[in-house]
Amino acid sequence: MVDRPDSMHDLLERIDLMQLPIGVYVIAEDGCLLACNRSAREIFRLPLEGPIVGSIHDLHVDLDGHADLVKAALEAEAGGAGFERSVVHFRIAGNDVFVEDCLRPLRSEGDGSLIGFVGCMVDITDEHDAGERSYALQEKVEELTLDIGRILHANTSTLLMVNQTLAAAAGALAPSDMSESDLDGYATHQIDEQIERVAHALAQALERLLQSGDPDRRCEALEPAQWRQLQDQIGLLLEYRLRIPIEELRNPTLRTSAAAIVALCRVVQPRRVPREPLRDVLRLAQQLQRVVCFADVLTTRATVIQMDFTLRALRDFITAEMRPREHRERLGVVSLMQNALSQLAEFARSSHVEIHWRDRPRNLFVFGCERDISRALANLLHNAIKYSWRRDRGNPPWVSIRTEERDSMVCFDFESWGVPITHDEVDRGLIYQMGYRGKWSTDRGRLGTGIGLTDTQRVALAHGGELIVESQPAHLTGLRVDDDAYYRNPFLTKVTLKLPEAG
Amino acid sequence: MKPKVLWVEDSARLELANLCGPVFFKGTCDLTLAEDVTTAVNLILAERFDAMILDVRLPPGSDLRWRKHYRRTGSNKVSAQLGLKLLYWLLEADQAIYPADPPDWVRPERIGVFTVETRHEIAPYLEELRVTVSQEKNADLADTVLDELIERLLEQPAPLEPGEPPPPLGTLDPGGGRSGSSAS
Repeated sequence: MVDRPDSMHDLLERIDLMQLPIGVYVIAEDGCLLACNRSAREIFRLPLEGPIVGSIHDLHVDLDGHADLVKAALEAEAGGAGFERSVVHFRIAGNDVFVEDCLRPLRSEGDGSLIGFVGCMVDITDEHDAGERSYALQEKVEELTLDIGRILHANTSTLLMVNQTLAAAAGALAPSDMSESDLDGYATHQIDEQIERVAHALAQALERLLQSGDPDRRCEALEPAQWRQLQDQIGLLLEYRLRIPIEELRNPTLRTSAAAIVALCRVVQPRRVPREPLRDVLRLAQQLQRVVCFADVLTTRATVIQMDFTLRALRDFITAEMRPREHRERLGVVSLMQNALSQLAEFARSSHVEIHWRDRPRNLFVFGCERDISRALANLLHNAIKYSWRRDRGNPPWVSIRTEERDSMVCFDFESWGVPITHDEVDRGLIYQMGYRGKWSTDRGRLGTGIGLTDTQRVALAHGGELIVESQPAHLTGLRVDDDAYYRNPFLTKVTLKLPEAG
Repeated sequence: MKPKVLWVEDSARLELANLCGPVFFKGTCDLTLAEDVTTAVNLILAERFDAMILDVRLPPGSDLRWRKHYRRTGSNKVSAQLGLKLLYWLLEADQAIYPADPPDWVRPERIGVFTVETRHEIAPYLEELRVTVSQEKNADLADTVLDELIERLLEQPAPLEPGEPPPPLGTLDPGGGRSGSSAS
């Protein structure tokens, strides 16, 4: 044990070190440990009682660690500060220990000469480790966020390629009597009617083929089972609407049927059946294949366009925290809405949804981030388009937009006719929850991210506004709310984004 | 009479619609779709099916009990795996899952699982439930995959009726039959 100067003895006698709840230690000028209270002994893994031997230099991970600490403490003293506080990294019994250490010089009461140092410390190893882990995790999240942004960006390019290829394929497959230059100009019912016409014509051609020529020679042209297969197709082609009540499953069935007929026509032994009826069947079966594929390509293209918007919205949402904060400015309502409309124009066209925008007030402004507000408006428009139903064969589905000032708030109303939102979903705020998909949404969230309304509500709140959703039956049905059929009828849904008016 | 087949799949009318084409084209079975678990259960309790094909990631539908299972797992189809819960109710009569007796015509031999989960991921469950027919969904599949699954299920030996004695050993068809049995 190192001999202590007399003044040090006096000093230590006056402090009941053992009672302090933090680690207190006294070292000589050269770093030798002179005294430690119980907490300090526990931190330094020293015997809890009895004399102590050792130097604080041996505990520092950094060789110059103690010297730096002493220098800082002396400078702090010279500058009039009481203690110099630092985080010190010790290695004690092979373990990394981090302490928050306050070191202060001890001076002789007589001549003021330096006689050592007193330090008080708190073990912050757990907090330090947690902080390190949190920092590492944060770094990883940031890295992943950027990666996700990059991947989504790359996927956008892929979707662009897919979209253009599908557009070209649709152009090549478009029936000649439907010479619309704009592919999206086709109404679904026009294509359905075309498919039905061709399917019926093919059924009639098949009947003619089955009745043509010599029955004995017909048997040489195809196996009896193959003729039966052709015969079976007549009923399917004529009655596919009845036989397949689910609309979406009709085209795949017709395509399979047409492909089978084409395949059979190609294995018919030549000169065993009259050439003309066989040629008619082959031509009409190929025409049916084309028109069904055309319909499928258009549907797939609409899906791809929707997916593209969803990915862009997701990318914006994910990377929102990573982007430099954008400044807020006075923004024209008309220009904001036009921006959202231009983002969704192709999706609306491919989905055959008409957008009606009344009241375009040129003198209405909001104050905020253009990117965020545009994204919020696009989210609402996207939902409105996606969840609109067609009322009848002649009239396309529609979304009605209204932009106006009410009680010093700018209101962006999106009204659509179609998918219900239940009272429960609105009242309990379920629709605003991240990842929540509407109970009655027809795509059951398959093509969505479940973040649209969450994101929009955040934008609304961040701008001092609010988001309001109302959904009511479009007609009086006489049904009760607890009847499932209640929600199978169309609803009129109005979603309003309210933002403070910027004078 | 054509065999009746139930396909429980929420993408049946959408991304997987093409798989129905060959089934309707052949017309050898009556295919019924259920796009959520509630609809599936209602159909299963109301009708008798000769085969069923189930997805694992299914939405709950409107029944509050299934919605509760769904909410408990974070309202996420992927983690809820309601298709597996439906199987446990059907084959293990687990009334903690659904408080009704499953119909006695339900047999593991006539149930197939068609899901994006790999065989490895769901094997322990399927083994426990004695479900042997499964198919992993991936982009390489032909549009005849559903039809082939149905064929595989319908080719399985007819399940025993309640009270029907098992066939004597040694009388089984070696080509298919009640596989695993032998005439030793």
